[in-house]
Amino acid sequence: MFHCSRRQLLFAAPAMVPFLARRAKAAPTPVSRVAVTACTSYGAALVPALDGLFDSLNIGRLVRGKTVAIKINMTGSPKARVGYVPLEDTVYSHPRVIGAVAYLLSRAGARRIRVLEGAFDCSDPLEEFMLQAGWEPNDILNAAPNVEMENTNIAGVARKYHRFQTAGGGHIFPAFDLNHSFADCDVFVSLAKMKEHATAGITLSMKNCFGSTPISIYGGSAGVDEPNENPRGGRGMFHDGDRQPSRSAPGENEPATNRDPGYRVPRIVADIVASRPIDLAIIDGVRSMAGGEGSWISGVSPVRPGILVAGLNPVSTDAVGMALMGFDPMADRGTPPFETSDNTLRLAEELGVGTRDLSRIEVAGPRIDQLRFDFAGPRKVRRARLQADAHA
Amino acid sequence: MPLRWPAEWRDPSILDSIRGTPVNALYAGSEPLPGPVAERAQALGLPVFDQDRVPVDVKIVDGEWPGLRLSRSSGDAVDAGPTGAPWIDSNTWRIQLERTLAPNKRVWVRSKIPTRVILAHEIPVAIADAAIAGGQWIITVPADFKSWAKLSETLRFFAANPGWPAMKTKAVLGVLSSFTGHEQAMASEVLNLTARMHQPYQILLPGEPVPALRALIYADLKPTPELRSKLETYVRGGGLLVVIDNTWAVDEGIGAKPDAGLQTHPRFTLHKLGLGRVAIPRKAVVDAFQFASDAQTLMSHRWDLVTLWNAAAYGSHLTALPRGGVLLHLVNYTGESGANQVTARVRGEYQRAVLRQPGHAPESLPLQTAGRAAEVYLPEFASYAGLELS
Repeated sequence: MFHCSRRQLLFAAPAMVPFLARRAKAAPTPVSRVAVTACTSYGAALVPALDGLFDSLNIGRLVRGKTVAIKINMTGSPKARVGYVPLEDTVYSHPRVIGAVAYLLSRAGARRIRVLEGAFDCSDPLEEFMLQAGWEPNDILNAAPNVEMENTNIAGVARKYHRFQTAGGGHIFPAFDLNHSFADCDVFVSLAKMKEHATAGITLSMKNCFGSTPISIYGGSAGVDEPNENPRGGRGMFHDGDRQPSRSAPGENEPATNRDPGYRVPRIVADIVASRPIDLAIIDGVRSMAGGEGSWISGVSPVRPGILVAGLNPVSTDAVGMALMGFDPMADRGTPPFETSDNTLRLAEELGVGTRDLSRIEVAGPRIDQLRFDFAGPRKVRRARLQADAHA
Repeated sequence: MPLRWPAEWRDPSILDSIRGTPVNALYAGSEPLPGPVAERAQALGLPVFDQDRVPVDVKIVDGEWPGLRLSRSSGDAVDAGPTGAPWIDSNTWRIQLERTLAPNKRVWVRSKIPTRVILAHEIPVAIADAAIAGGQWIITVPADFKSWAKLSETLRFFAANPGWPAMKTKAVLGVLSSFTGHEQAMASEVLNLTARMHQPYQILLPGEPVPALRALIYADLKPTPELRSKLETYVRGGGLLVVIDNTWAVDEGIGAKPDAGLQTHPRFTLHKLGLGRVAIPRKAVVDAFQFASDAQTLMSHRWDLVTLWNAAAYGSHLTALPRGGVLLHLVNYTGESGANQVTARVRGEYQRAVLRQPGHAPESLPLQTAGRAAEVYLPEFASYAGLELS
């Protein structure tokens, strides 16, 4: 990890002037900073590692005196593991990372912290969902003062939804109706897991927000006219467009557009991120899985990349995350990991959310090639094997 | 252990296949056995029963054909239940109920025979489905059945554990109903669906004392004054009472008061009473699955005795071992060893885990501690495994 104090910079500055001048001509000015670090366990090394990332991002300026909402990733059933491996070591954001982030943000001055997730297939309290996964929610609730949780699949205690307009009009959705918690916060954090995704190629801080949408409106059992406050089922309408959301919420701009999930899901993710901006993106890549986003994808396996990433811009953070996974964030459809989908990063970039161009992103910490964990190589092998099996 | 004699079997020599197996009775169903078969059975000392003539200590119950429900519309596809998991037909809850209603009777389950092809691996599953609740499935095999060795192995396994049916269910949740009249269907469905969620329960009848369980579902509409008083005492002592009647009169009846601090549940109003709570549905209950699921959430999954991962096609039943410890019965309704890697977490402190299954020697398994529970990674098994924790 590089560290350069202000004092060191002042002493070095005169000698560096010619060098900096050359650099300024050679590379465009960074528009975004993303911090990366190695972290090989969820033990004692975790809090210092996250603390270092947050220091690099001057996180206190972002959260001091603020209400912070943290959208975690608990996609899929709490009862489906990858083999015997606990969900937090493969599919879900790890509870220790959630607790550590809550603790550090509180220590940096956050007044109130709300942990959010549209928990799979239900409107149960988020604490109960965590218990079903085998977690102890009190470990998170007690990580800092004033920590709360909410399952954002329904309207919840506010009893009404907040409408978020998509900047730029949206690729597919002009606006989304979300649980009040996404509006009743000053700072919105996406705390994602570093994973590939069967439909969208990768799932990092932006794709994590797919689960921000309430299934009462966007789920399989959503009401036709009004939200169904006893909802079940997944967000199939986002994948294949087989129906529209409840009429109480805005429908698609053009309901006759392409219904291919590889076309729709990246665009809808970009729309969601453009409607409810992410203020802090964090990627848990300490332990994860290769080959897909959950145990329901065939051929997935647990991996230990040993990486943490954080940034103030989600497109840039995901671009660095992709590079750390061995993928090119500038890749487009037909190129790994976007063999059958469009690139969410490009689509978000088109909506003005941020840049995916690594030459315009300042990476704080070790170089990407020093931390890179190869998801891309095994992906090629796995896909070739699957194609051979399909042809056999 | 009764075997239903298929109507297609006319040849008494088939009885030789049964000799040496634990099958010790024949069940003729609606048609009498062919004369030569009946004579041969008598010569072999095999009693013959039918729908009008069963042992005096046996109650026959009509049940499902246990297993994964196959889709009518798509051939061998498996239907999904309300959880999105495969739909499982099971008689376990029915046997528990009948044993509660008639504790001095043995329960035999007579399944309606499916019109489709029956596969050999379905038979051990059906036997296990009844056995884990202390019942006996009337063994029903297709006319071309040949897997006598596997059948015998399964029957011998359960016959070698005669004490299992007498073991008490270990539970923190109770379901109280008369299980009669209009309320029977909903109360029965609550039992069925609660079992599907791997939540063990005690079945309670109105005339019995209410035990100190963590939560109690009252699945009937109107209790007698005596029962209402018992329920009130239970709640005042710290229990959670979940009623199915959305018109439950809290003020004039059980005396509980709404508590503004507890009004966050989307489908229930919560009332404090003494040390406990009463949960009343905001609307009439029409979805038994949602109700059964909500009751567990209201109680809190913190108190779940059993958590299983990758076990959507499995059934379970938790019993207390007489000398301490527990026995977790598991039925794999696919009937086949597969790639499923199932993890079982059982609340409690245990030092030793032993897996027992038909055709295998008992196997000691490593045991991890997970908070106040023990976690065990289970090897593959085809139809039944019993995890003994002590």
